[in-house]
This record gives sequence, structure tokens and C-alpha cells, in this order.
Amino acid sequence: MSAAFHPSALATIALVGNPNCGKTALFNLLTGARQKVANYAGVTVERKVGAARLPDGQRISVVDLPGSYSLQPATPDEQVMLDVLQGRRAGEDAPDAIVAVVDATNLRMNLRLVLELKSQGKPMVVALNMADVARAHGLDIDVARLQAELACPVVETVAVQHNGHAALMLQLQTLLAAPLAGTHPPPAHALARSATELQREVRRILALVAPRAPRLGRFQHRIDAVAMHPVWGLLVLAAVLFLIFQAVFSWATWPMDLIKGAMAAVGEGITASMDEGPLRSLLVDGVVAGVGGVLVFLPQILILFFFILLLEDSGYLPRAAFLLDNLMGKVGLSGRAFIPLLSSFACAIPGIMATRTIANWRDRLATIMVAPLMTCSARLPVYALLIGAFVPERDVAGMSLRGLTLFGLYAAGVVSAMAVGWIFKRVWMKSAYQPLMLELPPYRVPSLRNLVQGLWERARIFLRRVGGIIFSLMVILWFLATYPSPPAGWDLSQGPAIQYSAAGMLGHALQYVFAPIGFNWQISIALVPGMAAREVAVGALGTVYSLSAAGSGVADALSPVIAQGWSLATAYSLLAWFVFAPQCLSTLAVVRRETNSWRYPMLMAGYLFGLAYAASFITYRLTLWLSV
Amino acid sequence: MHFQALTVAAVVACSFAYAAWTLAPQTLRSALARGLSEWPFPAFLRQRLLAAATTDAGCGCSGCDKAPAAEAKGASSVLGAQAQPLVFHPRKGR
Repeated sequence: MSAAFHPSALATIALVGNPNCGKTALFNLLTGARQKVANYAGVTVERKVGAARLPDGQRISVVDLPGSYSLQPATPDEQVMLDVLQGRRAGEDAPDAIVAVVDATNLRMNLRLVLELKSQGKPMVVALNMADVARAHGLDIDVARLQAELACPVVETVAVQHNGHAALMLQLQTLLAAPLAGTHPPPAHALARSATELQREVRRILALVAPRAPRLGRFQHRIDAVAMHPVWGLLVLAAVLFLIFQAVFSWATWPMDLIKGAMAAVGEGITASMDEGPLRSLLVDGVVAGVGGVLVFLPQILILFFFILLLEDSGYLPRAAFLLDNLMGKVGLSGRAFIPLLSSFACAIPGIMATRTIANWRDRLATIMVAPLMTCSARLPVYALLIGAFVPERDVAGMSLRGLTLFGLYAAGVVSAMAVGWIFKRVWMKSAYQPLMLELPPYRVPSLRNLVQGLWERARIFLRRVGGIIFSLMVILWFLATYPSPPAGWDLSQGPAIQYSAAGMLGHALQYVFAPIGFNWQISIALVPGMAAREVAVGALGTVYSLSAAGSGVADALSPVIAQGWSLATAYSLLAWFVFAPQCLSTLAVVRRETNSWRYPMLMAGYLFGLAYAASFITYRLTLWLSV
Repeated sequence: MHFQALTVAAVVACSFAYAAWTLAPQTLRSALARGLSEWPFPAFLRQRLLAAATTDAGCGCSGCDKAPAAEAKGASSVLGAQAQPLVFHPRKGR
């Protein structure tokens, strides 16, 4: 996708189909994009546009639409699909042709939408996706007969295979070579058919083209007997999550040490090769201490996402949603809230956008309001830094104590979200319980390509943030923490030079607010740039402590410095702060966009800051009391 | 020393501009980009400004979508007239 691309100048095709039939995988194959794909419904909630080139060189615009089971929208994401399809979006024409993407292993479910799409009267190609899986299941589809029954071209595609879209490209070329008359009059029998009539028609076609419906393998049923068992299933889920957090700490040690070592070498190299001056200070105290301090956490983030991608691709996540539906129902949240809340573990923003799959406005709003409480990946550097500094590296019952602490922090986020949701649903957003209806995808062996692509995408996003907004904020913080310079005649016995700087003065002023919860002036400074993104706070602490120290090597070793300088109560208080505080401007902006009102982001910021302060206060005082 | 001070001044100024641009609200950024694109900047810069003025916001987060497109006048709202709630019917005989 490129910003200079103008879709309106090209012929447009829209990818339409049921949820989880592989539209986005096909979109990525057609356009070379790297949009998120996963083995469950509801990953795409907004239309995405890209450009593709047909075999004859003609460029076309491809629109990927959210999945839908019919043209009668029940949720906001399905409404997006219908609006785009019928050209009701401002500045966007209706697509010239439709590619109806169909999961070849589940024709019974998918063909109804195809019949409805036919009634739109647009040129259409049916893409029988996952044709390879269907064949492996022993499903023999009579493509020629299906083509005749639907009265439109039908091609087989394999969206996860290189060149798995070749037949579709050729068919689109043929389709678009014919003059596009806008809309073709639909056959009379296709119009205004009830759901029952459509389903009857689907059964008739199926009996002709695929009389032997595939059955799920016995192996899949055996897995589900355990994975979806009300007791064993929950134990399996807890064990899986537990393993993830253990791995985040134990596997990441050597790559983190490698990055730390590289950062230390860079810092020493700069100090040795450059005269003392502002540029050297900027590079060592600002860039190496600040940006390097955040970069160190890349391995832990990648390990976390490795497991998340693995679970997403395997088809396990929607099963976990069903397991937890009972709990969600007791809290008052919709069962559909699980997937958005799960997405929020990566980042609250896609999680908040994924709430579009929730039809009831009050349920949706309640989910939006609690989504930032789920532990996003930006919190991981903060947690890892504090755990590394304050939790001893020892085993408890064969498990790493650090991993256990991290698991506890993630659990604290989930429990808080449930508690807040429970309160919201009882005092403000009362609505009847909405049962969870989610199509369970078959288990699949995770695709190596998806895994590598997903990890690469995560690394790219993280490095772009480190090299972009985190770098620029660290430079600004270094500037504010360095100037104004201390007065003439100052020496180190009067305290560090940073206390005379703008940031130092701001930190001391903010300390009046944060002292009751145990934060010193250095932490108070770090919280300000940390509003842009949580992980910035780690870099900011690196820079502030580096400038506060008398020429020591803080740049590459923040952890021991804070371990010596902070009390245990301060560290726990800061952890409690980061469980709740909405230190992310982008999240608040997205809530404004999704709710179309400033009221809700203001309310969210207010209640989350209030909670953060209260939790930190209680944690700080309790730890002090227990330490006496 | 003089070289160091000048380089630092340039890096700090660029960082201020970048952070302000990145963290500014989308409406403000679009208006600014539209205004600046009329200035006689080099072609590549004008092209980027034009793109920033016309494209939707995206935060660069994991899986973050672009902003939803504005709806045309008369189009049904996201939860508008066409959105039909799911209705659950109890099984007969219970």
C-alpha cells in the first residue's frame, strides 16, 4: 500500500466473503501487502485498499473487506462491508467487480453469501480458497458444475502459497477486459429471497457439486475434547499462558545480553573517540542510554509475539474465547469482547477497533473502556526493567520467580479489566447478556510464512518506533535535561547539573504530586514523555539517570542503578502505576475516533489515572508497612 | 566544540519538528500539510506533504488499521438503520 496510490483512477475489485475464509491472506498475495491474518473470525474490521498488477500489466485497485455471513449487517464491521460494496462511503465509488472468496472446506456456510452477492448484479468471480486443504480432506468439488450453477467464473486459489492466486489473476484479466457496464441486471430469481430459500438453494447446489461433505478429522475432535473441556480446558489455557511468560524471561537472556553488550561498546567507543562536548553527551546520555535502553527489550517482545502468532494461526484462540465466555458473561461483558481484549495484549488500538464486531453499543463501549487495562506489549519493557532490578533470579517450585511475577502482572491487568467491566455494566452500561456466537475454525499447523512475516512485522514496527518517535523524544528530553546549564562556579558537590535544567525543575515540581506514591523526581520526569508511548518511560529513565550520574556508565546499565537507588515500595508502586495508567495518547485518540466523542476518552483518562494513583498509593504504603 | 553545538542544535530542532508532527492530531496535521504543500518545496517533499494531507491517520501499532473513511451523506450510520440485531429464539418445546 502506498500513500501516493489513488484507487479511484483504477478498476476496483472487492474481496468479499465469510469471516476467516482467507480474504486478507489473498489480499496480501494479490497486493504484496502484509496485513494481519489469523485463524479466527473478525481480524479485519475496516476496508483496506492496495494495488495489484494483472498478468497483462494492467494495474487494479483491490479492496479487502471485513467478513460477513450475509448482506444483512448485524455488526458495525459488516456494515462497513455493505457500505463499501454499495458505494455509500464518501469519496469511494462502488467496486467494479467482486471476488467472492469462499472457504472450499466449508461451502455449506459460504455459498449463501455468494448467492446474495449475485443479487447485486455486479461482475463476479468466485475464488475457491483453501482448495488444497479441501482436496486433502477428500472433498471433490466439481468446479465446472459450480460455475454453471452460479453463472459466473469459479477458480481455485491457495492464498498461503506462492502464486496460489495465478488462476484468479488470469480470470480477473478476462473479466476486466470486457467492458464494465457498471451493474448487470441480476437474474429475477436471485432477488428478494429469504434466508430459508437461500439455504435451500445452497443445499441443492451442494448436492450437485460436492455431494461428499468433508468431516473434521477424529484428531481435531480429540483435541477439542481436552482443549474445550470446562475444567481441563481452563488448566490447558493457564498452562499455555504460563509457559509464554516463563519463556519471555528465560529465552530472552542471551540476545538481550548481546544487545546490552553492543550498546555498551558503542557508548565506550563514542566516549573514547570524541572530545567532551554537547554532541558526545547527546549520543551517550541521550541516544545510547535512552534509545538503547528500549532497544534491549526487542527479544522479549519478539518471544511474546512468537507465541501469540502461534496461537492465532493454530485456531486455539477462539476456543479460549468459548472457555472464558462464561466468565465474561458473569462480568456482564459480551462473549464477543474476548477477541478485542485479546488483541489488546498486542496493542490497545487494534483491540479497540476490533470491538466493531460487537453489535450492542453498550457492550461495545464497555469493552472499549476496559481494553487499555489489558497488558499491551509497550508495558513489557517497563515491567521487564523493574522485575530485572527488583525480583531475584531464583526458582520457586521449579518456575522462574521473574516469570511468575510477569504472569502476575498480566493477570492483574485481566482481573482489573473484569472488575471495571463488572462495575460499568452494573451502574452505567446495563444491557442484556449477548450470547457468544463464533465460528470455530479447524486446527491448523501454523504457517511458517505467517510466523516469520508476523515476527518481522513486529520487529519492523518496534524498530521504527525506536528510530522514530522514541529517538526524537529522547533527544528532546536530553535537551530539556541539559539546558539551562548550571550557574558559573557550580561543582558536583552541589548536586547533579540536571537539577538546574528545565526537565529537572519540572521533575521537582511534579514530585509534589507523585511523592505520596513514592515516585522521585527522576520518575516524575520520565512519566511526561512516557505519555506518548509507555516504553518511552524506560528510555527517559535511562537518559535522566545518565545525566544525573557523575560520569559513570549508566548508559548501558540502568537496572543496577535503579536497584540501588529505589526502595522496593517505589518499584512496586511504579509497577502498579503502569498496570492502570493510560500512558498512550494514540489510544485516547482512537477512542475519540471510534466513539465520535471526546466524552469517552476524557472519561477513560480520568478513571484510569484515578485508578493508577489509588493503586500506586495503596501498593506503596502497604509495601512500606510490610517492610518495617 | 562549535561543530558539536551546531550539530546538536540541528538534531534537536529536527527532533522537535518530527515529534510535534507525529503526535499532532490528524485534523491539524492534514490542514498543516495542505497549507505547506502549496509552498515551493522540493518535489519529493511536496509529494509527501500531499500524501499526508490526503491519507487517513494510522498509529503504526501492531495491526493498526487506517482511520475509517467518512460516510457519504445519506449513508446509514455504523449502527444505523440497516444494522439488524441478532435475535435468539428459544427452542420449541422447552
